[in-house]
Amino acid sequence: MAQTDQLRKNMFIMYNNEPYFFTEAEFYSPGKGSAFTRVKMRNLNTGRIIPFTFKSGEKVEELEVNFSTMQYLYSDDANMIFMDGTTYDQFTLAKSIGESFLPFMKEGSDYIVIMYNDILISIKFPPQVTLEITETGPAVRGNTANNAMKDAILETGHKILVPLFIDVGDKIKIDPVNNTYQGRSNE
Amino acid sequence: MSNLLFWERFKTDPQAKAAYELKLKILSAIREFFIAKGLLEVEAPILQKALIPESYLEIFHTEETRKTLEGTQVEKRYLLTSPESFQKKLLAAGFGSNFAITKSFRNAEPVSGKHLTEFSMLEWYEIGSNYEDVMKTTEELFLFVAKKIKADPTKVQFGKDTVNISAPWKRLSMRDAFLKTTHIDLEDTWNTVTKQFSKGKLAEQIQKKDLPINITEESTWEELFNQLFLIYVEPNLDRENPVILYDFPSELSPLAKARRGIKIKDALWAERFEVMIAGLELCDTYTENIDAVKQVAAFKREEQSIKEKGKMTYPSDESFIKALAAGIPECSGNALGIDRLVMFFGDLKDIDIFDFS
Repeated sequence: MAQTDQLRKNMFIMYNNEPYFFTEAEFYSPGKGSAFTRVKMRNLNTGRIIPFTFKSGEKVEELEVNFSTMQYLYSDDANMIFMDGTTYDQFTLAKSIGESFLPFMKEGSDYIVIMYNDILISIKFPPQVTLEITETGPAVRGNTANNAMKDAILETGHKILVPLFIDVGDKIKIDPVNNTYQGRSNE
Repeated sequence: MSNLLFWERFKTDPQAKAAYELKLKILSAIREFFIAKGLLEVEAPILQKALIPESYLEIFHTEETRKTLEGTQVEKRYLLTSPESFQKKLLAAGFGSNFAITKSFRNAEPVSGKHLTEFSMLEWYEIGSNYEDVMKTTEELFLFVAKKIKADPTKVQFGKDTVNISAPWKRLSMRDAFLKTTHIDLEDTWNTVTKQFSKGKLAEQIQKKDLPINITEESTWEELFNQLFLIYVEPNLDRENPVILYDFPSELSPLAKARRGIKIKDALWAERFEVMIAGLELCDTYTENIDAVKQVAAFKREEQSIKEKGKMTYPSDESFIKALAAGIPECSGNALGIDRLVMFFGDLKDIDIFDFS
């Protein structure tokens, strides 16, 4: 059991027999009233995010999760399908949970996933990903100083803004949370 | 937090230096504003023999040692949590409207970016004013500060929000705020027999509307109210303009002047307001209680609650009760966190930058 004073973002908990993940957590102490931790938590079974408050000092059950590497195969309308590379077992993850990462995911690539009781509950997505540009306007050489940006299409099919000097075939580093260009990769 | 000493940081990080310079400028502006308004600046003592009991706070304590011919005297001392009682004692002594800029101390404050254990507090007391007058003073103060630091009051950038602080600010009663966001009329949760808000009635409304609030045997009305506030009311407040949230439940503010309900004729509201700007709570104002009997009752309740919570006990400020019994004029007081004011005007991510300890 974890005390609520230790509740934090990216924590997994069990609440009312449902597994949840905290997407946001913020301590609230009004001075003239009880202190709470205000969270936004995602139900890992339904994918729904609900706002919730925990009383300061209230105990919650922390989920013991495992991390493993799996190959992302494909997505259908409702689910994302992964495969364990050693057992060839397939696992599904509700699209509602993982879809914010989809624009940056390549079929056939390995990702770190989060497991609870042999159930795939989420993806531990890296803070930065490297992807290749497949389409963009002609590169403008020497134009590295100003902040002008242009549209580009990533190898995943996702559209992103890049600086003018970026060309087709370039590999770039991306912050997947904010969908922003972070620099050219030398990989 | 940075590992650099604060002065090393000032040397290497121009933004940190600018933030502190802004705080100093704002401190000067606050003084200039209140002195021009005719308020007296007073200086509250930090070391106290007794405090106003407040069960939600944790306090700092120390020992004072004095040497006398008879030997060494050792007495407990407490760091002040707010200059309130000192300022009100001055009112009892015949000092007029006054303001204090004081370092105040609250232990066990959360690491949230918005709390410090040692922080800069502004409190002012206006004689003959009610909370509506103080709403206007607060608007004027913000606009004066903006002018002094050469900020455009129509667009103060704070995080992702652009805030227009031009007066008058939006005024929203707590009842309306709850009605709008939770569709619960807090007046329906008042028990007209016991003359108290009823936990059972509020819990019933929450369950009827299937709101995600955990209700247990131990939950209090205050906790349910605050959870609803945090989930529904606060996130839905206008972020483009300051909001004056007024008329708090009497339950939460027994020391503010009471006010009758709209539907219920009992005194279930309290003349209290808080200013919320883009998610930041900046100040807390009461039309102040001047009745010693009520204050004694509040002391008893808080002392009891401190014991129940197993917190460290400390002497209650009985001389404050005496001052009220001797008589203080009708007044309103506002307590404002200066570090947060600077955080807002300086578009700072947090106030931890002002922790120089």
